Amino acid sequence: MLATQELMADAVHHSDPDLSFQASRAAVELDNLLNDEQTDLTVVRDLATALVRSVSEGGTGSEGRRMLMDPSEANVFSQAFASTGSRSVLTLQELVDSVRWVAEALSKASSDGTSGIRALRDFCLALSRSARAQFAASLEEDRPGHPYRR
Amino acid sequence: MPLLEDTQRKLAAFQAKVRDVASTTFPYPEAEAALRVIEDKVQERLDSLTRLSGSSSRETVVESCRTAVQIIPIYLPIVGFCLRSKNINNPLEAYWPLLRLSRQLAGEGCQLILSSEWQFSPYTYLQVPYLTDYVLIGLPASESSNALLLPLAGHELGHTLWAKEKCSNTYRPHVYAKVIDLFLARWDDFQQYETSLKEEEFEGSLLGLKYYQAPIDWALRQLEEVFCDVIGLRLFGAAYLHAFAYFLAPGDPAARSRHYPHLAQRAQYLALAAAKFKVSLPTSFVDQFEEENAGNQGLDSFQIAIADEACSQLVADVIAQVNRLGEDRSLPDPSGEEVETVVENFRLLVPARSPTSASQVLNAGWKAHARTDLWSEYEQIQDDRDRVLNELILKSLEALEVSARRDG
Repeated sequence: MLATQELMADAVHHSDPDLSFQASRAAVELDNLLNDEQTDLTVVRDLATALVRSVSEGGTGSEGRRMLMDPSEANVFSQAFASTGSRSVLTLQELVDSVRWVAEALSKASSDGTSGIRALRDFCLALSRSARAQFAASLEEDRPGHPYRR
Repeated sequence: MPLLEDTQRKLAAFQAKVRDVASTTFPYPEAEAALRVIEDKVQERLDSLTRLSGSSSRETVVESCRTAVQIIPIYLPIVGFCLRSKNINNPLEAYWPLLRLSRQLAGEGCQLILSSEWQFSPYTYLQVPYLTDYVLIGLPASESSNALLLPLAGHELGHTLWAKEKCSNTYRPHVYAKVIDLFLARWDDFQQYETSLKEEEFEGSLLGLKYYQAPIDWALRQLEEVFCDVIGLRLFGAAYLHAFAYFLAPGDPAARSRHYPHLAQRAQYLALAAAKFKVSLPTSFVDQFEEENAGNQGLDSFQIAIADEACSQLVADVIAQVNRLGEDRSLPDPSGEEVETVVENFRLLVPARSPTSASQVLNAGWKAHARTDLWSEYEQIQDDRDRVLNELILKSLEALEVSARRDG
């Protein structure tokens, strides 16, 4: 019998269009911070919390293999890091560490670290794009096709 | 910024259409309520755009506009789905019995919208963000009034239960472990496609992830479809198998989706579950489906085979889980007993007199349908047999709802 595990309860999810929306709204907040237009970082903090949850809860299969994180989410995050080129990530453990690092930086973001803010904004934009791409890919196979529809 | 203004216009036009549809009359309140939720979410997207300013970076504006309009392709089909739910060709008599069944399965907060689709496939929208309490079931428009196919709604209800029970979270670590183990067990074959990876690095590397992520997704999706088939069987017994075969046999070998086990395999999994639930298999049930080969080649074929095998290794767990869920929720016995009295009612051309469940009525419908001598004494309805039987089934479902309301 398989045990039910309450994983990723409020974590980000690759099949949820909200992840790209949340990441893009976080980018807007960071952009406004860079432009000295506002200091409200509510969405940035929420995204940080969701990212931490995503990498805090893995799971263990009946064969004893430990899954560090949902492979589809890992794909979204690795694409985001690859496109910003901000961190070299080759293994899943490095990916988990990098997501934790970004989440920590997002949770502490403030107006006194301009260069760091710009990098975080770029990461949020990259995350929005990769989540949107993954979401679209997950729909592709399910979309009933029509032989004469283009 | 024309991009921003155009995005705002597109969202406003969509919001106006949602309002327009919501303002019409629906036979039950769920569709309008769903449309109001969508309308609010469009407003949230519009509000998010007001936070952009003249000094926002071009990249930020572009990405904000992209994510804001993403809501339109997701929800526009659902607005159309709600609009079609008003169509009189939908089996409205079945709505309330199915709603009760949905709530028995997924809880009292469950909302149902029954509609039709202009796709030749029964359909459900799964866990639509912001509408997670809604079950949206669409039957192909050409069959939407065919009561004998209502058991297929059981499969679609299964998707709701899968999400409600967080089954993906339960099974994902197990699917993950199976897929990794299968890659390692077939390492020599895998090396045809990738030679730079070492076995010991495969699981933990992002290069390995590139190969095993898709089979994990596919196996998990396949397992969900098996779960839904078994739920359909547990809810409707042999009637589900008849409807499944009517709709899907013999299968198209060229049209296999990676998200489903191949059709002959699905039939075999259903046969296993039928044995567990003591449901009699219709004659030659499994043999009606032809072995499918999607024609995939190379790495794709290798990955699909791994997904298929990982799914197969977890099917017994899925059947056991559905069995427990059925007991926990006191679902009617699917073995098909107690349908003969309803078949006898139908033989006398009257609706079921005291139906006890939708499953009983639908199983009686299929039994009557299979009787070649049904109404042979009534020459005047010989050419209209299917329509008359359909009406009797729908009337019986209506009687079931009347009894349920009367008995509180």
